[in-house]
Amino acid sequence: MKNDIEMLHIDKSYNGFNILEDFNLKIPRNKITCIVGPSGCGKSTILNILSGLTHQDKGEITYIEESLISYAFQEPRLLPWRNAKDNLRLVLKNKMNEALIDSHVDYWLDSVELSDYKDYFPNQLSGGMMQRLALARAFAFPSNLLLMDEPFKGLDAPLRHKMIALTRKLWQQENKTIVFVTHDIQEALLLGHRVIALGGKPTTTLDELEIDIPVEDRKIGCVKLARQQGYLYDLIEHGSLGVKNCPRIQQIKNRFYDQKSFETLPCDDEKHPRKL
Amino acid sequence: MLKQLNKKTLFLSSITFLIIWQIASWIYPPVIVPSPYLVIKNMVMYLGNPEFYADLSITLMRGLIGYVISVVLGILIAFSINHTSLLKNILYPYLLTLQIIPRISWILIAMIWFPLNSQIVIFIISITIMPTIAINTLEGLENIDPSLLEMAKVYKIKGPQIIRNIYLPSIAPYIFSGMKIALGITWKTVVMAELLTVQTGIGARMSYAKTSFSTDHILALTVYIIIIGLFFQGVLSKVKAHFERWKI
Repeated sequence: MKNDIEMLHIDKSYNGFNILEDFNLKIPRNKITCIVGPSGCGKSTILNILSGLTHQDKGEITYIEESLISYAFQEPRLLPWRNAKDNLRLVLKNKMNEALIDSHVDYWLDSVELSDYKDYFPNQLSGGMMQRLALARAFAFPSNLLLMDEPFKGLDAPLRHKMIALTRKLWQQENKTIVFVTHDIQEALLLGHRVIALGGKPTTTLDELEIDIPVEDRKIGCVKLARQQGYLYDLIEHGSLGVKNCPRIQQIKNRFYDQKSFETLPCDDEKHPRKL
Repeated sequence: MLKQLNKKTLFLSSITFLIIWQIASWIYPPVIVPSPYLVIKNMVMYLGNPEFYADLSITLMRGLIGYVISVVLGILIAFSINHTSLLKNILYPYLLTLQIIPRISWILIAMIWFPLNSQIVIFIISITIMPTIAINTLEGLENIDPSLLEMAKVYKIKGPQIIRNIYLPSIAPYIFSGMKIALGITWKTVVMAELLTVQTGIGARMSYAKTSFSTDHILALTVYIIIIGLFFQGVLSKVKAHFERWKI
């Protein structure tokens, strides 16, 4: 699986309202691509088109048919009448050697620290545990493309950061291609190799940032990330106003890219105290 | 509400009922209100009568066969017509109509259509309760969480697995609710059908008792039907609890 997936010239409308128009997106293999944008900008629609749950009106997606997809939804979408173990077993049945399923399930339950809860039903688990189980299901499934649609929405901040760390750990183990959709810029910067900011009506790509800091070194409050966060916040705020070719957006971009001195700042503030 | 019924309340209300019944039996002649003692005496007498067991087992057999046929048929019909909205639009009003048709109409029609044997009783039970099961199953099918079906589609879960893991558990509460209502109707219907159409079974035995104005026998047989009904409701509750153990 070497070729990158590309969404090319995608159009999608709902009830006569154009959500996506001539939309393009490149998804590099074995990387985490984060898509950030305001609510209602069509982030989930992009994932639904990629997963085949929705079909685009126009355009094509390259190499998607070669991909086996798993999806971590906004809600855990677990079967309430199956226990944790059986929720995982269900998606693995007929996808891998029957004899290996049990050990695979145990491994992934252990990875998300739910080994002690394998016989619990979803209604006996907390919200965070259910999300962890849904995450284990998405990673355990032998997919090469993992779609994540704001899977940590609704969790409190400490739990959300724990889940981000867990996602990073699982990605390091598996190296799956991940498309992570969120409206939380900080979440995207902590997780993504590439962060794509969306905005406007219909939705366009406002900018794409390559985050060159190793994922394990990223920390909340690090100057470089904070600067990128501020930039993306400004960009999305003005982009969501929906004025095409807005000069203010260009100004924001110029200001960000001209200040090259920030690029040399290290991210690890503990080893390198801030010099501002 | 039913969970709040405790044993003490049930015992006290039973005693009160028996006292009222006993007082009524002192006021009215036995042909109108036989005493509880007389009814219990007849019930005990039936236990020593092999012919009673034959009638009891034939009533049980008819009831259970009719019940199982209508449950299976009702679920299958609901699944079949749920696929296309056209079929559902055409057939749903018929299911509602079937549910409204009085049982006695079916009994009279069946007496013309069938020979007077077990077939007729099984047919009447099936046609009476099948619509209830089908309508409840359809309601369940309409209420399946679409987000779970989307999850199944993304994870490429196969058809039989989807039926077993999503469809059946989702509609189970609706089916069980229909089965519970249908079970009550089954025993009432089987006795009524036997009383009017055949010469065997508890219903036929009641018919003989009626011709000799043996109210005590009618009540003794009625108590047996109540016991059968309660027993099978208990079995159904156990099966339901097993399927819904995740709700704990």
